[in-house]
Amino acid sequence: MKCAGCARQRYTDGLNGFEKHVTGGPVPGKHLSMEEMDVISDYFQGITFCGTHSDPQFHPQFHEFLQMCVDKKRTIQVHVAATARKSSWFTKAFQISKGNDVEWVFGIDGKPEDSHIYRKNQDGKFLYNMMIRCASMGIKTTWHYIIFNYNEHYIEECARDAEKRNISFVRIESCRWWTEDLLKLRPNTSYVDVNQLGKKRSNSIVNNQSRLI
Amino acid sequence: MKPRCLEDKFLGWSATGELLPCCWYDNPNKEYIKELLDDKFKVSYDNTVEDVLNSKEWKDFFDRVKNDPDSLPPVCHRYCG
Repeated sequence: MKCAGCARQRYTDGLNGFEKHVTGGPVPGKHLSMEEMDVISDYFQGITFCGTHSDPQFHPQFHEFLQMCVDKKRTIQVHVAATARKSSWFTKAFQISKGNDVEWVFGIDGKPEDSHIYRKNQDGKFLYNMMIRCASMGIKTTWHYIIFNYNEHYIEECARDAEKRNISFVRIESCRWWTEDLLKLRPNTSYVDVNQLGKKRSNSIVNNQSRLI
Repeated sequence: MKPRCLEDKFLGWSATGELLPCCWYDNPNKEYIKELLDDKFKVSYDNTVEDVLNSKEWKDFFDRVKNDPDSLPPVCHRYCG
């Protein structure tokens, strides 16, 4: 994926004052080892798989990691936005999650067919179907929806859809309007604090309650 | 400040395999915490998270978080300020 506001792009494009670190890629990183995961999950009660520079689904042993954390009775969050895996991969992960303290968070910005406008290379319809499957299996499921100009008029419609499916809906007012590509997607000013552009943190709103992220 | 690394032990893990005070430190500019990224802090069965957090360098960092927040890098103030 190549979402313009993602931390990954700091390495290749240079964002938010990180220009001197631009390498032109690749984004540095390595797979977490089974030993590291074992040691980490021994210590921490809560584990969030968020893939700051990637997505948890790209790890070849993700199912094993998830099972390890479930077996240790950890509180787990899994954030996904990519669509690199097949439906069966998600189903297996959901089966491990089912009945345990696991929350899945899906990054889908707008109606499924529009989400790729920001989430470049994402198959929004596929991920939306995975989100529905997750919720239908009784797993705690959350829809993260960053507000852009192409989706700002569909917020209520998507929130109603989420509620109907027992999915928590979190709308995110971004502060990451750093580049021309991002500015082209900037929503109505009611969702943007123009005095704080690039300075403050993004704002997430759940059930009309705001939280800085 | 309400430092989540101290209050909630909400630490991070970098894409390059290092324990971090916070996931927001996983960016190209880690010069502010380079003392925490030494090879001796690589987590393993012989060097647990607890071992790392009990090191002088990590204790000194948490001491700054608690007692000298003005000396902390901008990322701390941005996300926990």
